[in-house]
Amino acid sequence: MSAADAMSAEAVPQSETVQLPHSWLDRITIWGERGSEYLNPILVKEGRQALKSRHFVVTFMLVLFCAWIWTLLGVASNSPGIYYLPAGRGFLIGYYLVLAIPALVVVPFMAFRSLAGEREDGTFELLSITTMSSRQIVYGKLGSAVIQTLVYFCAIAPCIAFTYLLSGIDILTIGLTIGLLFLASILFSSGGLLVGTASRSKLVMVLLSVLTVIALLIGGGIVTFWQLIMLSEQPPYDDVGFWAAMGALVSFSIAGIVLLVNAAAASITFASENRSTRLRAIMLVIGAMIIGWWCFPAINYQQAGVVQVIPIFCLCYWGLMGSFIVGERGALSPRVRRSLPRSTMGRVFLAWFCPGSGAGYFFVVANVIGASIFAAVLYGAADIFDPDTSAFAEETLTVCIVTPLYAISYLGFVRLFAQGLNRLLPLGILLSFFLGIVVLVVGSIVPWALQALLGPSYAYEYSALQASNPFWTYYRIIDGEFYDASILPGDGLSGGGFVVLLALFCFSVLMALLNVLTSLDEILAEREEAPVRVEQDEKELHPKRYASAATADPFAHLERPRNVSAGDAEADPFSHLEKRNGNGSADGSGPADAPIESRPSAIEDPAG
Amino acid sequence: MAIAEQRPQAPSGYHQGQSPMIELRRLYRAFGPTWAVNDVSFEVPKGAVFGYIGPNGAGKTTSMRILSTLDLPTFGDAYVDGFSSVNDPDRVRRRLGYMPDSFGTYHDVNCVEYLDFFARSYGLIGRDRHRALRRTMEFTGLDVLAEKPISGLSKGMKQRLCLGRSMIHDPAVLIMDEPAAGLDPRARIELREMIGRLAGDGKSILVSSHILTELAEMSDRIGIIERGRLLATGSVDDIRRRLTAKEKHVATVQVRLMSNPEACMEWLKARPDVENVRYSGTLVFYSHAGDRSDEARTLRELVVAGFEVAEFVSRESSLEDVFLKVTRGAVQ
Repeated sequence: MSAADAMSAEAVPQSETVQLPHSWLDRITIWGERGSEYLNPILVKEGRQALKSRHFVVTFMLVLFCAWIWTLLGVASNSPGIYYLPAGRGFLIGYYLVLAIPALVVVPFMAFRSLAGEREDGTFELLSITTMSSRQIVYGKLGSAVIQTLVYFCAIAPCIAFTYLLSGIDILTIGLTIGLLFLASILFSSGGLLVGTASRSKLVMVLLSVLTVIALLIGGGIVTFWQLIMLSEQPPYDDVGFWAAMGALVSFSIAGIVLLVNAAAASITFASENRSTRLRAIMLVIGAMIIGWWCFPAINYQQAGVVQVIPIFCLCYWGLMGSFIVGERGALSPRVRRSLPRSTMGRVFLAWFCPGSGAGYFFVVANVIGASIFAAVLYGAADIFDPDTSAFAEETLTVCIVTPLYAISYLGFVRLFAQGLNRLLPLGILLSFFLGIVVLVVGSIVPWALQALLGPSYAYEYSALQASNPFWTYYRIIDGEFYDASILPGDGLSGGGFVVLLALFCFSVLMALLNVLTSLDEILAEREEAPVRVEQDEKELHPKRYASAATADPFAHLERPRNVSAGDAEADPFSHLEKRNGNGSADGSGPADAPIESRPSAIEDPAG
Repeated sequence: MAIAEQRPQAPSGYHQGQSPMIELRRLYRAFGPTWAVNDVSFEVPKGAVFGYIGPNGAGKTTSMRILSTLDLPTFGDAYVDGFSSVNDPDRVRRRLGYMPDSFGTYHDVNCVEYLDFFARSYGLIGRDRHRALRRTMEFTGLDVLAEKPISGLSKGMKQRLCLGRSMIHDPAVLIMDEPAAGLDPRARIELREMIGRLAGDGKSILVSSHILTELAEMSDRIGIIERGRLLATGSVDDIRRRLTAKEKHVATVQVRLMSNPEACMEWLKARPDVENVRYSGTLVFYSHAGDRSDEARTLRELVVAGFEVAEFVSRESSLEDVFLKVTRGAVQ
């Protein structure tokens, strides 16, 4: 039943519409129509569009056609052996290749185009001013991509069942292959959606289209190559390590999908809204997953040396995330201030999740420090059970010390630099990301080039001059020769490692102090109460959410409520000088019926 | 008493329609060194139509986009039904319908599917959605074209569809950016009637247009903007009155005579309160400085002087005249 039919059915008096349809097909249609009420509107719209779309029909027919051709060719080339020899694996490889192209390239590219196309056709703005949230928009687009992938999978499903009948391949391998391909398809589609939100410029979008196709072909090629290797021989199903690796792969893929989808949603969210907290929570979970999955080999195989890797991996991950986070704007919008924790404890523990480059910087640094402390503790615990591991004690401890110092120094420097540059070139998080790469490259290459200039023989000698080169420093630490390094190239004095530690410590203290000073506005930002008009509306619309919002700060109950009596107000002789909040106007800055000239503006400078 | 309890309550007018439904408060928007919107403030009460006039690049669309939560101001704020477009865009969106100057339609979708999609997007489900669809299609006259693909619609019909889309969730405020652009005369008249009916239903409408005569007919108040600055606001009469208060009131008078227009022209030229006398056929035109009673006296004296007057029309400055007087044709 189309929307028009449903509409006309609505026009008929209710007594006439109550009668049940005779046909079971009609009933299914009506149930489907009722079910669609609760589906994402974009999913419904794109489903309707896809049914009429020439592109989808052509791709679908091509997939079917290729599968048929492969089946015919396979049967012809394997006959008559196909009747008594296992041939399923070879056939599955062919079907996998047929399916991989739409799943890993076509569908993700269409996901990219679907968001980019909305911008080009001028429909994105219409969509963004509906009551749908940006997450709903992205989920709808992703849902549409998932459904398209499922349709392709369904088209190939009989062929895949055919491979099982031909024997030579077990159901677990088939399931794992198809499942991983499906997961990769969703991951790529999520990436496509994120890229689709990257720019409004048509020129940039054309460039991004080309880059997306290239990236999908390369990514798809890597996934296909890896899966074909897995298909070529029987995976070690009886090895716990294999399943641990699969678990890590699947969990990181799912976490990656969640992160990409939420990042895409954040990038299309209205600028005054909180776009950071959810992303930081997801990043925190992924950070915990990295630590968790690296604990497996350390505990299961009792290899305490693996613990050294945990801080380094965490530094790579948080360095990447941090390079984006430190590029956020420093100013908090009044809307964001409304969601700041009320209590002091809440501000101490939850303010790091609030938007802003300063809060973000300390959030990232805290995570790196936490990972390093965890690694040191884990190593200590492993050392108790396995005394042989004490050989790595010095290296592990040094890695755990050096890692937070690098995080504080590099991200602190990039943050200060990016905040200054953003005033001239407001590129936001992209600027800080590219700046991070440049600073890292310069910090690694310049000292090396300096040594090479001092003398060709010094080019490959690690010295304290290489303090800013994390790659070489980590290599020397793990190699166990960090503390034997010379202070200056060719001086023959050992103890360069201590000098590196001292230099890193001093620089990180300086960076931390400077970043604290430049983040004071964010750290000391006070919660703003929502205007009464907003509270009334919220109470009417979402009474339950309104009631629970009052207790959103889990630490609020620890603090005694600050009741202000009339006497207290009188006791403060300067209280009348302070601007009062929430006195009836929409922005809480002045009474709504006051003359326009007397009201201050609602925002200081949203454009930064 | 807790601090939260101490805060004064919202003015009761918010829920009784006494406060402005649209309010721009000291709005600024800069694009690089250019101020697209420069200190613009105005209010639109419930059920009123506000005509927003200005040359291309004056800042109309920018301020409408800020009001519609599509852009952020550099300073200031815009309010819809008392909610800030900057800080409460979600609440503003529930109350606002925006009709941009571009159509924004999807491929492979027919009229009813298009409206159905937006009804769902505004959270309408079940009977509410079907009712909204039926109401909107009847109002816009698209019910006979429900199954027609959007790509096959004429420009006028597409404009109706876009109006339908913007009012599908029954918003209290409608913002229309150049809704009559490119429409034929019939479609324009129909659109004007629809806007009138919407205002009659209590909706507050902010409409921009280049067709000034139509705006003058449909708007309760107008705002003239140029180079980002709001030069004048009020009803057309108010603005005209304000303009003429500064200079001497001059009306253009048109007299149709049965005969002898040359003699009449000479007679008029001799009068001190008459200027720019010319004639075309039996019509004599002149500019008259003075009020209505002066015009009546001139007419009486014309008749007494023996001229056979068939028609006497005094035309005050139109919206176009007001617009031309207020603006300078400057662009940025």
